[in-house]
Amino acid sequence: MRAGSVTVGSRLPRVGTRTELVDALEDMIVQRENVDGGHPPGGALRGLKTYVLESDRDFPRRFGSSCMQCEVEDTGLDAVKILRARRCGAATEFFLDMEDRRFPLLHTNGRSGDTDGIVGELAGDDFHTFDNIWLHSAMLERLARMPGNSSVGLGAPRRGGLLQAEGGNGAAAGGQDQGAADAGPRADAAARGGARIARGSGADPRGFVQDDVRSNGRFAVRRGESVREHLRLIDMCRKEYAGAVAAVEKRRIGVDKRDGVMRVVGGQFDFQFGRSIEDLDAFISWMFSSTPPFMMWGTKFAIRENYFGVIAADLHAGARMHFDIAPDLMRVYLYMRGCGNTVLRLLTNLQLHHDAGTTCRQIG
Amino acid sequence: MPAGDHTRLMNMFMGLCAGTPQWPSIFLELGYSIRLVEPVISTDTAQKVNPDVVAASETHSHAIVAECKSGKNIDARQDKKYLELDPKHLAHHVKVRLGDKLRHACCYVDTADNHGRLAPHTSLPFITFGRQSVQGRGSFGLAQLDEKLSAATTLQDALEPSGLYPFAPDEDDYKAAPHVLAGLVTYLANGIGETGFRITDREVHKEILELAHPYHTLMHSRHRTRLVGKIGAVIGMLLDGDEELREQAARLEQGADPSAAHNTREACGRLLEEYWKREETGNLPR
Repeated sequence: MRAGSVTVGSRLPRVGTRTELVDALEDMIVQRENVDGGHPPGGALRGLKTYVLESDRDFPRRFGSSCMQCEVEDTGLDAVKILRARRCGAATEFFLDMEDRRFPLLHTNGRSGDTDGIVGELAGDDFHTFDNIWLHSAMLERLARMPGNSSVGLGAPRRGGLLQAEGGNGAAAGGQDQGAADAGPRADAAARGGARIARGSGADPRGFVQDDVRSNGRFAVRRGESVREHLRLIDMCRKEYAGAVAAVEKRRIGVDKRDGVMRVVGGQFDFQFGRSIEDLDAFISWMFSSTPPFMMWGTKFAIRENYFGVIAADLHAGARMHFDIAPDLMRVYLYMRGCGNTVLRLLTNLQLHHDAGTTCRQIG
Repeated sequence: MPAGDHTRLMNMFMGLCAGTPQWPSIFLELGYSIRLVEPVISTDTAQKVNPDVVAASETHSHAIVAECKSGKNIDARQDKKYLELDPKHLAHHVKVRLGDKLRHACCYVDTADNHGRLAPHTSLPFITFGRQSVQGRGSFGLAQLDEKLSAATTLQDALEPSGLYPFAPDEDDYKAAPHVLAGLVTYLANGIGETGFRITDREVHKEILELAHPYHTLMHSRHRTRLVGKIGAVIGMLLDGDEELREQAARLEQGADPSAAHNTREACGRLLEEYWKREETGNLPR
């Protein structure tokens, strides 16, 4: 172990170079616990975990809510900070890598029970500065099939290759997930909230990595010790995701001025449900309740029987939105100042918590 | 709280130009796109016409000037002004790079329920929405469009869009209230961490308009001003009638305060619920 190395519970070193950052992450990766035994009770899996966030603003120096306080400290690298979060009496540190300002990374070897809670709090607080990234099922599939990646069990969920779904209360919307098994591999992958993806050669643990990738952008190293492959996998995901967000934002509804001529641009997003919504009232109340994962505030009005418009606000991005919702179709209007992440959050969480067979025609 | 009839017609017509799923895209298929919303167009005789929507197709060098009629009367003076409208007046506003080639047709957009009363009072063509179909009546000055509109296009299983034109300046306050409240909630989500603000400020109302109306920049300034005024009137009405909202608004003026924003959001939600209940019991001002 190198001088100033990272041990469980110790403070993170103030790295001065990228190499030192990678060294510190390597220390985190080899301190993995409970790998072969799976998740211990209480969700205390340790080891290197990286969360990919979406942010439209810089991290402030200090911020927090009633139950969590955060401080950001400098390191010797401009783009790398240390985020110290205190939540429920416990302090946890993260390397905050802001080389990509829109999609910063949080690296940690804290207990997953703590770190998931902190990141959840960051993504769900009243400051609305950060969000998770949201990997819908088709995107997870694409990631698993990218050059150098191999999926472990993607498309064969009953063999234990896919992760368990995160908690959700979608049952309130009239039942979900029962249809996942017969909705195909893509649907099943989404219903379970992620995929297990490996990179590199398995002969030498230092040459490969196997990550549990969650739909909310958490990459937890499960096997292997290659930080380089772990970061490469995240980088591939981030590029793919940035492209998807840009494509969504290109379709925002509004007016564009080109060559001195104002033109209407954009169009709605058409979400098709695999199974019809039986109780639209309950579905809309659930979806627009201002709480995670959707973070949507809204009010509905009947257009005709079993067909509603919803006047909505995305509390995360601070954007006005509009929806038309019928039992089989949901039209999403993302206006010009809306955030592309919002539509991907909608799609992923509808797959996770409502109907794994949900698709969007404009999002491949 | 369904939208007013005029707003519904606006959405239905704009949907024909917008490629909306499960809604016909008659105009889009011929290359039309929306160019102006609620414009004011001057004619040679210093008259001004105020149509609702102008859509133009560069492919066919053709523009449609549409007025949505939810009522049962045609304004004879406005009708005469439409007849005087010349393509050159339009070309300036629409900024279609077509020069002298631009042709146009003015038309009314109405519902089958009202059509019998309106049609005898004008020579202009109509686009009429029925419960089962949409159909053009009269000539629109472009053979391809006439061909498409002369046959009824089914609206069976169609889902009318409702988010292209959210609300109008002459909307009842209570129908505009959900849009204004959603705009306010959005503004709050944007404003946390910033300095304080007054929700009665005109600048805030302008911001709410920009958040709420996707095509606000296509509108004539007079129309935008009226919409900003509507937003201000609705906020005033809400503040007058709700002590909790007044209290939270006062806290928001003091500066960054997430709990005030949260409480304001809660108050907005409660107000909407109250509106719902009052509408269900028929207890809303008309």
